[in-house]
Amino acid sequence: MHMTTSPLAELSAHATSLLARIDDAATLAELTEQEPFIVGKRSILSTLQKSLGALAPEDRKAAGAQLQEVRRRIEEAFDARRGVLEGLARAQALEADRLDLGDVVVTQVRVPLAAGHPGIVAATQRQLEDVFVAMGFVVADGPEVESDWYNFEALNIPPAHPARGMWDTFYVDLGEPETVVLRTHTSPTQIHLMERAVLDETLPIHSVMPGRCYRRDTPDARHLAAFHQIEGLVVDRGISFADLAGVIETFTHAYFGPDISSRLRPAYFPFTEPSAEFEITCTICRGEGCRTCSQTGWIELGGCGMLDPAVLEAVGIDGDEWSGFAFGFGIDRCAQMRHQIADMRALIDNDVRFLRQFS
Amino acid sequence: MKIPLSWLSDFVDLPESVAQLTGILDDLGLVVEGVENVGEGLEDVVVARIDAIRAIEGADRVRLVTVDAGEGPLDIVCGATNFNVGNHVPLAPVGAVLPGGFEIAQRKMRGVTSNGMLCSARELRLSDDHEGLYLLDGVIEPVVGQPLLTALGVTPDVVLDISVEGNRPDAWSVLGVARDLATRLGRPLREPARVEPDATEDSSSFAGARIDDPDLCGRLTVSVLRNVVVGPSPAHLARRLTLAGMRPISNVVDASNLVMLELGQPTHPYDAAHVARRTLAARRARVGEVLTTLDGVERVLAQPGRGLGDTGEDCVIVDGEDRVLGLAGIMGGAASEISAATTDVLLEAAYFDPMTIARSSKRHALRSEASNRFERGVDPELALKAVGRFVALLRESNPEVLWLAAPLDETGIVPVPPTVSLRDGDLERALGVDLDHREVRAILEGLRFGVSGEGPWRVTAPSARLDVRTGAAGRADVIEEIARLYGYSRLPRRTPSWPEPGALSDRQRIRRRVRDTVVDLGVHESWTPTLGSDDDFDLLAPGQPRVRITNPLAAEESVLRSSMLVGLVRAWAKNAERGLGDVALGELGNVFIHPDVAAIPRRTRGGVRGAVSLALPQENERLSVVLARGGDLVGAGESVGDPRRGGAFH
Repeated sequence: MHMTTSPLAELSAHATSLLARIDDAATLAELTEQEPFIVGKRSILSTLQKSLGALAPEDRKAAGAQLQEVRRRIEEAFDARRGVLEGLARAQALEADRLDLGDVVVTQVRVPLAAGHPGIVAATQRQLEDVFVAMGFVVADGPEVESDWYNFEALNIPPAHPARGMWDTFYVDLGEPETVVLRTHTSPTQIHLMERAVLDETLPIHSVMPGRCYRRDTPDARHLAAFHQIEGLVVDRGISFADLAGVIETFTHAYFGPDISSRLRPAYFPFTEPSAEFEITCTICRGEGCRTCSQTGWIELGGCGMLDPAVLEAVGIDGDEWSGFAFGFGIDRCAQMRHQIADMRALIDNDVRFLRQFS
Repeated sequence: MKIPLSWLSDFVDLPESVAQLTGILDDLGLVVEGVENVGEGLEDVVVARIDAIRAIEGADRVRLVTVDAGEGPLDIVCGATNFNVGNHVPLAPVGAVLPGGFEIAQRKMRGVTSNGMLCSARELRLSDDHEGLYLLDGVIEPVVGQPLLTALGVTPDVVLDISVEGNRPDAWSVLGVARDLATRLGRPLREPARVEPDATEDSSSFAGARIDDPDLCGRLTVSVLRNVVVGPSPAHLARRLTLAGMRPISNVVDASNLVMLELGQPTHPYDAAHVARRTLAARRARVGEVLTTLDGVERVLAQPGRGLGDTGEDCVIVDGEDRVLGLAGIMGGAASEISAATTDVLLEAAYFDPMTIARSSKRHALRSEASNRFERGVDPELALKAVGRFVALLRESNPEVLWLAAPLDETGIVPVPPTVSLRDGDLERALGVDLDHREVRAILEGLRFGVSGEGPWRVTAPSARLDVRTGAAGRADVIEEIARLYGYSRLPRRTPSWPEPGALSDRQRIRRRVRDTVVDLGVHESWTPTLGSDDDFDLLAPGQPRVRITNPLAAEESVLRSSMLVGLVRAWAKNAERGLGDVALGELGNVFIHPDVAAIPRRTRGGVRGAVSLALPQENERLSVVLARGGDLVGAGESVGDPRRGGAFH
């Protein structure tokens, strides 16, 4: 009778040596270089895995589980080390990126250096403002830091209401917790305008409100953590859903061109009732159907609706005498569509070649 | 919400094509976000029996398997190991095209020829299971050579992924979507089959139910189910669940999930043997109570959370000895879970106060299919109807199950369905057109609103429509429903006009002039981040109080900028790296001054109902420019005045 040694006999020694290799990696590059030998195909663990086939089936299961457990431990240690080294690399990058304004030497400079260029978002905002001014709207501004009342509650989104989940909110460290926010939309400016108009007795209101808003979300090709919206508000006598649909259509033609039209689709916003998403003819395929519009011929631009009676009540407007509507959509998104910018992140990159391209 | 059309069509006759259907759903505000064809590509897959398994010389990952699919022995190379001789598995023969377009061809490897592919359930898109081949033994009575679809009783299906808006708790179910469709199409709605309690012993002789806090729990029904035999669900019900995106677990748990998906009522089954005194009660959690939920997390209850209006209230379900069994309407604990040994079940079907569920769910960062529904409002009258459906479904696999008579039914505070008046002219004032009254009535009645009286109509919301409010707001809610079902696209458009002219303010005009001027001087207008770090702003004004974000995504983005210069210099440095350093960058934007040090702190309304006066940061609009020549930064400047308040640019 002779003993056969299990291929896993030295498993714990291998594990110790792999863990040591992980700890020895001093930089992210080193660790990445070692990756195939520690957790990848060229690791001793993979070799051992293959050798399991030689075992009797009844032993194979237990050995496999044992090996799996070690693999898990090694992978965890590897990931943890990678996290540490990534943090280190980030800190170093930030350090390198640190500014030393002491280096800035003020000398006399002749201007112009070269032709300048307006920002693409600012230019788009101006075009939108011009269209709305021509349609009879006054342009209004509002603050970017708002209280809970303006950003949420007066807009019929009470504290802790599930509808708040529709917005990923940055809270500002002032006052009681979660009572001051970076505005998540331009709608709070509506509340300011209506409160002021009631106070000053200056109703009706026909305003658009462009501005920067924030969402607590990692930027991607279609979304930025900071973005620009333009909001419209009409409060007047005898305003109906038909007026809303008409204003949206007039704007669509005026801004996007006569062959682009609009349609409304039921939706939910706490501050309007009835509410709608508004869609426009796909500007890429002109309604034929393409990848951008998922073959529907339509793309979503923004939201709109008739002012909810709860909002009118919150600002003290008599809903029997006055009615109105609101709409809002992304300025960055308009810029993206109009200039066919694939990745929104290009807008915050401030690459002068990009800025020059769109003047 | 994923809905297989085979399920939807139980309740309403569907339009002829899927494209028509998705168009109608979109138009109803039930936006279709995805359409998946399932069972497609399985036409050629057949049932095969494993006859022999052999090792292949030089290959340790794959083996040569001989199968019979009715046409004699076939050799197939296979990498899975979860089967033995005599098992039955799906075979995709040479020439078959699997879901996703994968075509099976004859392949030669290691000197042997493989004549097809033996498949896992995931490769066939029948479930997520990819542990090995899909073993048919035990699932069906396998017949060698039979087409798999026939063997499983599966017909190809289409699954729609529908996004339901937050104000439509009634539509968050297969039946709810069917109700909207039936109303729009003018077709009858077929209710699902239900059973009534058995006329045997009374539930109260076996179990107890109690509501201690009627403001948190509006209704608590406890049904007693006896002679329960826990086992797998019938294949067609398991498949329904799988298509709807949930994993089949056991007939009892599956029935609970099916009822929730179909009718919108979450239910919770407890093993009666593990509920003290077989009594369930709903009450407010007490300070210091602790519960370990099914996900293994220990949760401290009744702790006020952050944010306005959160009092820390949790509604819990307790047993007859007042021990906490679960977080009501959100998640249960492990102790009273259904197991293979369960024979008696207490089935809870309840109505919980939506805001209580919403706050608890947010505070504990714990969301479930049940909490998502309860926080939007489940029809308070649905509970026992849902149990009737639950028992009907369970009987398919457990025919001897008894539902004891007179289920326990405790009532707390439930919302009263509002009645709103709809006067002549209301529709025209809101929509700009008067609609045909017969059509309006048909819409309302199709959605199960009660309509009585003639001018004004008295319209009563069904109990499922907890989104409908009272008074003027309720009228707007009803009008939205009418417009939605009538079709927004059929409503007129009119472009309004008013005597007041459109205009820019003086400040906006100045802003444009400043912008034009700096661009003319050669500046590239930039957009730099509003959020930076302490280190950034310490460079310019060390130690100044800063406006901070409570929940930043990163420490480098945790402070509101007090200057744009840092962002601009950084933007310049990036351009310089690209060899574009000879440039002027500028930005016109807001900087934020902490109210403690602001010259003119902004006071505004805050707190609940805007009743508190808050000091907010002063937002100054500034112009900032950096200038570089010969690859070096030669100048940087920022206006210090506030143009809104007549300050000058420096």
